[in-house]
Amino acid sequence: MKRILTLAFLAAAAAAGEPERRIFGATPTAEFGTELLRSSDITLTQAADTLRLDWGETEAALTIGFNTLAIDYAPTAFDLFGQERGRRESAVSAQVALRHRAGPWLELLAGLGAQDGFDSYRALWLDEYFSQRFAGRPGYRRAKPRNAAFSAGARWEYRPSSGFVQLGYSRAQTEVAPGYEIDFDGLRRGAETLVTDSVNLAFENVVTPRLRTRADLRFASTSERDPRWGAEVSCRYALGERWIVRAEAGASDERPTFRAQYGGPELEFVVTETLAFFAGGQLYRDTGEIENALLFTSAAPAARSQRAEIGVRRDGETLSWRVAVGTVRSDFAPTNRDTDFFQNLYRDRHWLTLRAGGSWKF
Amino acid sequence: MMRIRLPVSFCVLIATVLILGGCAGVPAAQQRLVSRPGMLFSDAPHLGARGALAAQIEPGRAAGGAQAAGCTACR
Repeated sequence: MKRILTLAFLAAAAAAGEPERRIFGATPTAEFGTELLRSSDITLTQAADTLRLDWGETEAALTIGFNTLAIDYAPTAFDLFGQERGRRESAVSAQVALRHRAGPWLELLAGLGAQDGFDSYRALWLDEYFSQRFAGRPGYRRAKPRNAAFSAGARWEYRPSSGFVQLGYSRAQTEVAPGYEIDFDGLRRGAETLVTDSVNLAFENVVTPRLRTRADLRFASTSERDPRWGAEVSCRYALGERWIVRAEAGASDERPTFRAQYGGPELEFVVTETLAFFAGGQLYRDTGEIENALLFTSAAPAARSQRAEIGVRRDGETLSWRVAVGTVRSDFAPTNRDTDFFQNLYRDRHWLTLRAGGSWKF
Repeated sequence: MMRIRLPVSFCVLIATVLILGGCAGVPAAQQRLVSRPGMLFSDAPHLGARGALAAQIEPGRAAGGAQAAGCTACR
């Protein structure tokens, strides 16, 4: 499927290579992005192709995505009922995003999207665990995770070319792979549908001729959970004609105990007007999840990670692209009595990351 | 209680300083350096839009559930 999407993108790009090509009266741009995250027992991929149609005051972006998840499920040594098993799953998604200029300094935004399939390796791992334990028992259902979401917002350019504020709202309804508990009354299934309302407020400013900043404030409320707050600040500073420093720092907070902090710098060297190399790193840590879409007993323990990445970017007249490769070392705190069955899920891993993306102006 | 919210509060404080700092504004004629591709905040994949897979191993990066908008200067 990923190959089909890639071929479809390349075919569309090649077919539209003629100058002044228009689709439905709009100027088209094709974008593609692909990502790989791989460890010794888990491989995740994501690919997305976007077609942007620009009518001047209005722009539409149509995106088709395809994700794959592959895990080598391994039960703990004391799990007498568990078996090693490879699981391969895929998910498809589609999204439409609209942007309309309602005035000289105001844009209205709207989006609609849906996905069918597992959205994380953790959900897949837990689904395999519950499947091996409870499949066939009354009350067990084969998981069919999917979600749908819509969003709306507005962007106001309150200071020409140098001050922007954007307010957005989104609602997502997610059918999750449920967790299970068993007692004398039989099998009990956890929550299957979660609704998340999110509000995002972002400011972007050109503070000096060399400094561009962004501040992002987030609020999300998910069914049966306390609200989660988040804040992130990013800045990009031009040291000179050839060197750029990018940095970001952020934090999340969810009562009663979840906290996360992350941040790090990235340095870019501009070789020519169209070619640049970059390298960077990030640190992340959290206090462990309070609960999740499944059962609280499968909540992740505290985690830390260190990320490093290098890459190259080319900015052309019609074709621009970027490739980056890196590693992530993720370390979990030891599991406790409630989560010992997930020792192999929450074990330390070294990840390889690969990201590539491009944009083709027809 | 204050200890839990301190990191978020700190980021909000920094954000406020940056926002207020931007109120002065910089004329477009002086924005040559900040208009280069490596200086933009964008959702375009070739300009470094954040990978979606990262949230799987660093869940605190996401506000939770539906993804909020990632930038203000997106096309």
